[in-house]
Amino acid sequence: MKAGKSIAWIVFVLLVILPVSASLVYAFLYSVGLTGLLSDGYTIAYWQQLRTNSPFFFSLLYSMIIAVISIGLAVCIALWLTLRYGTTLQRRNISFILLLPLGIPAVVAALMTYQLLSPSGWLSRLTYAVGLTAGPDAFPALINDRLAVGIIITHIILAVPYFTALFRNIYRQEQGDMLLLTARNLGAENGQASRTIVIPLLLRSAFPSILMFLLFVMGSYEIPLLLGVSDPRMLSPLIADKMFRFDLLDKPLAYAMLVSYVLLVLLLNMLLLRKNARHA
Amino acid sequence: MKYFSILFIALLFSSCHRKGDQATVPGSWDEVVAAGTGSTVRMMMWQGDPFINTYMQQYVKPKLKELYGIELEISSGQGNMIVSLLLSELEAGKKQSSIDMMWINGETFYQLRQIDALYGPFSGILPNERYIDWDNPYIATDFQQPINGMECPWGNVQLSIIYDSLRTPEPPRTMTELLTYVQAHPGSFTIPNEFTGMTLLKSWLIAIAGGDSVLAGPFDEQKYQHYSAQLWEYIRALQPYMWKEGKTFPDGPATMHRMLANGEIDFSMSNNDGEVDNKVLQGILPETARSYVFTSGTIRNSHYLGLTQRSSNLPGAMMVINFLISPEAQFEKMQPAVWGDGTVLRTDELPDNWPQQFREIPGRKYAPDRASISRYALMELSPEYMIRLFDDFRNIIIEGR
Repeated sequence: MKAGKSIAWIVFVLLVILPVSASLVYAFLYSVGLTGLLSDGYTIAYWQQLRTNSPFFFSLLYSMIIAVISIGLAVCIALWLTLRYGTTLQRRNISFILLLPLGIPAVVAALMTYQLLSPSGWLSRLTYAVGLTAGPDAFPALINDRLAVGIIITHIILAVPYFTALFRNIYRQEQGDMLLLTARNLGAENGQASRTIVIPLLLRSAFPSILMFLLFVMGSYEIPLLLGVSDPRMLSPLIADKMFRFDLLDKPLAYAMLVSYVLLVLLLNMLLLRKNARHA
Repeated sequence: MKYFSILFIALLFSSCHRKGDQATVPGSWDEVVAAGTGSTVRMMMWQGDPFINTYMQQYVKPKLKELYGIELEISSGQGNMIVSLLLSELEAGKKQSSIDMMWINGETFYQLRQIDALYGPFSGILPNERYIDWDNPYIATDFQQPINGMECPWGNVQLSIIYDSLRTPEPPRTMTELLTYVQAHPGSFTIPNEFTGMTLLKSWLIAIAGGDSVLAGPFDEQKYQHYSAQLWEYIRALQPYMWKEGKTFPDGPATMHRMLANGEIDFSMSNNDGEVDNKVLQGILPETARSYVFTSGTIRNSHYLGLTQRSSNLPGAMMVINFLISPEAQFEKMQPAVWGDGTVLRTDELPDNWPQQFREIPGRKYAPDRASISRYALMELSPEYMIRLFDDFRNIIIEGR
């Protein structure tokens, strides 16, 4: 048993810790000019540029807001579905339908949203056909808009099935039906029992997954690339732009952004998961 | 834990780069042919156009196999990906590159020269090099840089504007007319925030400066500041009337072609003046689509083929490039129904009946005749202009700083 645990630990270090740490250290060295083909030697200029003259922090905030809104709404919808249709959702064919969108690649989901919500998309054609809009120009901007409506909707479409499946499993494992019944027998009203017992239970158990999905949305690339605007940009398109565009001398700045983002995510992760573990 | 630390440090420093591993190549063309025949050549190129892909897959590959027994393996990747791949290989100290040759343009050429990733000079050894129109400055110079045999011209194109003649019978032909048009038709115009868009901005910068000779030569900060200020003033005047009120910009011509076809905008653009024929034949644009150039001029440039310095099969890659610049391959490529790409050869001085064959290539149906737009051709500027325009377009126009 002890040997098995050691092997698992070694595999984890070799496959996860080592490559991630090596990449992070390499990115840091690149950002301070200690490596890189075009480097002129040690410099903190790129970190100063990151702090004073780059859209990094604004993009970080923008990404966070989009992630919080997307995941917040997705969690609310998934909770409502679980509580409203808990028993129905446990049927095998419903389960299958529920899990189906999980296999949709982000780029396909983004293109589907584009087809649906762009000025020349299905919804616009429908509103035109019924006389609600006068043409593509009159359709409200839901794609490539600064409020990121298209990005948020796409993330919600991808996240709702996942959270519904997750909540349904937790609900079943924790015997949600029994808890609700007991609460009602003790005099609680329907809404009160859900609000004070089942929802906190589901959220607490699912907290690590919610946090992970939040970070996943913050770092998403294809969806904001296809559905976002040129300004403000979410973090991944911003970093990729600096990394791969015309100016090779921007590469160290891209690495400085990358290191800052990874460290921030790790810190956030550690703080929130530790806090959650204490309360669990 | 100690061993992990040692392994970690070893891994980290194994990535340090080493320079100077230059590939070797036989001295004469006969030796090149002897070494390259029957080999496999790995080429990286942009594969975003079905016509270009068909030309490579169904014409070039079988021909190379038939003539020289060469197996051409094509992988997908354009400018920034090629630079990124070769930069990573150099930084990792990889002795042999994973690609032998690639399709590049001036911007990529500049970056690859910066990191010393190109093999050369090599074009002088190619037998078909003697047919190239070296007297043509649009071919012999790439972004104001003499190519010095470090890349081989493959095709020649000019930026053109694409529109639907049914919706816009009289498209604006000058910058002033464009401003008037866009003010009268809000949302009908935009600029792609990438290479093609920056090429349009360069064309306008040259027009504002009064001709390409004013900005010729190395990057000039003073001139850039002076003329770009007028360019931004012009774009700011356009901005409120642009697509999405100029708050966001499409990612490239492919998106713009789709928006033009959907009626979202009135103008798309392409660096290839033959693109409109190509896209009509593909069914992406309607048969009423046409293209033109501004009378103030648009940039004409060439695209090239380069060899990686650490290629493991330079002879084979040279044979592929020699075939691609042969009269036969250039003739095929120039057909509007195949690719419609301009040739880099002096067609009137080719042997046999090639001059006549080139003259008899069916004319383009939707794009203007090449000769008629040549007089509006402008030379590419030094690469730094592009880098600065791209940065300032973001800072001044997109972010409004």
